[in-house]
Amino acid sequence: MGLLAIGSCLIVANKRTMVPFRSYFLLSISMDPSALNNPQLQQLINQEKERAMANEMIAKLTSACWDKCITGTPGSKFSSSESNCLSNCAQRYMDMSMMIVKRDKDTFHMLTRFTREAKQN
Amino acid sequence: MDSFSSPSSSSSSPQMSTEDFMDQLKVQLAQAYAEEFLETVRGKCFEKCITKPGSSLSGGESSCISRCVDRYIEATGIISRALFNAR
Repeated sequence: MGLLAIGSCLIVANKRTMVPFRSYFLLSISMDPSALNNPQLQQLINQEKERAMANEMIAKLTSACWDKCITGTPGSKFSSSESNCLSNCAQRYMDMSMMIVKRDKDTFHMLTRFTREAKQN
Repeated sequence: MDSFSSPSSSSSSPQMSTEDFMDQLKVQLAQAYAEEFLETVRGKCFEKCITKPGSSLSGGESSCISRCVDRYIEATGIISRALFNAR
């Protein structure tokens, strides 16, 4: 029953094209209780989930870095400054991410406390 | 998120095997990814290449679009290598 239900979900979900559809889709599938009864399936789904999340991150970053680095009209190849910019862009984004989590972990704790308290009220 | 909730069970159809399910999942993921990618590329290249829309696509605009798509695909590769190789 579970797999059949998931199969129908697949057909419906295909009509959606909004970002970030893939993450929501895979998350919702992996939360289906009938899927959790099948550990092999669960593991395969989790692998696809990770792959999808990585692809989404790449897509998002490419979009943002393209805007930052490719300022003129696209040529027949990237100049070295453009390709360096793209590469740096991705790495600086990761640096920034880590910095935000580390430096502001106190802010994060506060935030999660507030949201938790708000939920209780 | 109604579309994602399981429909009420029914049917006399046979169960899908895990393999069939995963195949279907991968195909649909790939399709969704391709749609998203195309949508992004359309947006970016329209922005870069069609600066003043005329009554038809000029040759310059066409070749710009063609280069733009190639460059965007190349950019995706650069970013993905930067993220997943240089750790």
